[in-house]
Amino acid sequence: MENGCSLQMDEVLASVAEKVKNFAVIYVVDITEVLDFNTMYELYDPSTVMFFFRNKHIMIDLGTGNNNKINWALKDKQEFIDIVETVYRGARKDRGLVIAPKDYSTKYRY
Amino acid sequence: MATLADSFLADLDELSDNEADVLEEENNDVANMEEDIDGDLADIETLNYDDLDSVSKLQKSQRYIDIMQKVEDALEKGSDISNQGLVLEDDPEYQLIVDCNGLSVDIENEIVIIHNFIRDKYRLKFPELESLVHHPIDYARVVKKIGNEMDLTLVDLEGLLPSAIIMVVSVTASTTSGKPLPEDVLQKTIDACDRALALDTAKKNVLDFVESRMGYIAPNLSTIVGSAVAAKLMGTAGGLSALAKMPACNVQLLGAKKKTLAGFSTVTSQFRVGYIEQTEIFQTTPPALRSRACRLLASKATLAARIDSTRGDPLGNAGKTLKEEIHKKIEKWQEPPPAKQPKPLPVPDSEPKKKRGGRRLRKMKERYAITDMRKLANRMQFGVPEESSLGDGLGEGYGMLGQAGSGKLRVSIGQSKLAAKVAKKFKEKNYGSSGATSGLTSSLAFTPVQGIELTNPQAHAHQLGSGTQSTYFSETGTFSKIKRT
Repeated sequence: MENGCSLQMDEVLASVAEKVKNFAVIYVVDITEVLDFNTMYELYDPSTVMFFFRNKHIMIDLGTGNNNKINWALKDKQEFIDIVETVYRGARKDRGLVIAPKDYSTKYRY
Repeated sequence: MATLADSFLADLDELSDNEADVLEEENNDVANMEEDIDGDLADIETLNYDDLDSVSKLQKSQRYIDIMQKVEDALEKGSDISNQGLVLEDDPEYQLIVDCNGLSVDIENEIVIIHNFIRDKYRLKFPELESLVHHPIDYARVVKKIGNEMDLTLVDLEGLLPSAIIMVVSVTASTTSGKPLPEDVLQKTIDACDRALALDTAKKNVLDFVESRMGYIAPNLSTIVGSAVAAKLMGTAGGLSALAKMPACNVQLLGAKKKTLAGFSTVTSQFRVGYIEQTEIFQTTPPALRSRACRLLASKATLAARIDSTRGDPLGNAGKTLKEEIHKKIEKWQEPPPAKQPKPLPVPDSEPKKKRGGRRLRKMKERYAITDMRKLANRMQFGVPEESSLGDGLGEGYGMLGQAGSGKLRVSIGQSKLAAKVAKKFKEKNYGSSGATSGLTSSLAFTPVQGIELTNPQAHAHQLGSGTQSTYFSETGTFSKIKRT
C-alpha cells in the first residue's frame, strides 16, 4: 500500500521534472537513509512533497489542514505542475503562503 | 493567375497566327509559284475558301521542300557527331536544325489553317463534331473516316479516338442537323484532310531528326528533360535562342493542352503542365509533389537552355549538376518532418504579456470605457450638494448630471473618439443641437434652479475635454506656451 503510493508520486515527479526544469528542481530523498529531517519536518508518510525557495520553506494552502506539505500521491501531472507554478510565483513575490489552484479537502472521498 | 496563364497561351497562339501571315508573304517572295497570289494576304478571312491551295501554301513552297529533303537525307545518313570544335553557328547541321525548328512552327500553323478549312466545309454535314474533337489531326482523321456517311453505326472510329468520345460522337451524329455534302465539296474536304495528315507526318519526321541531334545541339537541356521533350520544346518555342529568352513560367506551359471537353470532370486534369509532363523526372515524382516538380523542372530547364544557347558548356556538365540538384530537392520534399521535441515550460512571469494595440482593440475597449455620463456623475461642483437617487444624500449620487450650468439633463451615449473624426466632417449640420446626436434632445434644458435654460453650444466642449483629449489639434485651443525672450 505504502509502496504503491510512493511509486505513483515518484512517477509523476519523474515525468514532470523535464517540463519544470526551468524554474524548479526535484530532489528525491529516502527518509530511511537520511534521518536528519524526520523530526524537524515530521516526515512519516509514504510520500511527502515539500517546497523550498532560496532556503525558505513555502507553505501551500491545499485545504487539507496541513499547509506544509503534500503527503498523498497526486495522480495528475498537470495539477502538480500548476501547484509548482503557483508556489514559484508566490515565492518570487516573497509570499510565505500560497493558495493552491485546486482544493484537496475532499481528497479522501472517491 | 489562371487568367494570366490563359493570356500567355493566347499570346503563343496569336504569335503563330501573326507568323503565318508574315511567313506566307516570305514564301511568296522566295518561292516560284504558279498560282495567282491573292491581293491581300494579311487578312486571311477574305481568302477564297473554295480553293484549298489558296489557303495552304506551305507544302508547295520551295523552302519547305528543301528542308524536308535535307531532313530525310540526314535521317538516312544516321547520326554522326560532326566537328565539335567549330562554333555552333557555322555548322551547317545546326543551321538545318534552326530551319527545322522554324519549319515545325510553320507546319503547326499550317495545320491550324487547314483545320479551319476542313471545319468550315464539314460544318454543313456535322456541325457538332468540331466541339467534340478538338485536336486538328484527330478531327482530320475522323472526317476522313466518316466521309459523307449519315449513319455512324456503319463507321468504325476505333483507334482514332478514345471510346468515350466515340460514344459521344455517335450519339450526337444521330441527332445532328447536318446534311450530306455535295461531291466536289466532299472531295475538297478529303484532300484537305490528306494534306493535314501529310503535314503531320512531315512534322513528326522533323521532330525525330531534331531529337536525334539534340544531344549535340543542347546537351545540358537534354540531360535534364530528355531529348524528345527537349526537341518538342525547341520546336514549339521556335529555336534554342527563342527558348532561352522565354521566362521559365512560359516554358512550363509550352505544349499545354487546352481545357478538356465540356461535361467531363476537370478534377483529374493536370493543371498547367505542358511537354514537361512527359519528362522522366516528372513521371517518377509522387502526384502530390507534381506541381512543385513541374515548376522546378521548368526553371532548371530554362537555365540549361540558356547555357546551351550560348554554348557555355558543350560537354553537358552543367546539365548533370542541375539534374542532381533537382533530384536532391525532390528527395528533400519527401522527407518526413523532424520529430517533435518535448519543450520544457517557460519560467512563470518571465515573459511580459503581449499587449496588443490597434484600431480593433481600441474599439473593443470603447465598449467598456467610462462614458461621459458616468464622468459627469463622478464629479461634483464645489460647495454644491449633489442630487442622489433616493434623495437627501441616500442612494447613488448624480454629481454634475442635471446640475444647473451643466446644460445637459439628458446626456447621450457620447461619441467614440474615432467617430469624433467623422463627426467633425459633418459639424456644420450640428449647430443648434449642442453636440448631442439623439433625436430626442432639444436646445432647451430644464434645470431645477433656473427653469428653462438655453444651452450654449460651446459650454460643454470644455467641461470634459481638457484632461482626456489632446488640445494640440483643437480648433478652439490657444498657444500652449509663449516664452518671453
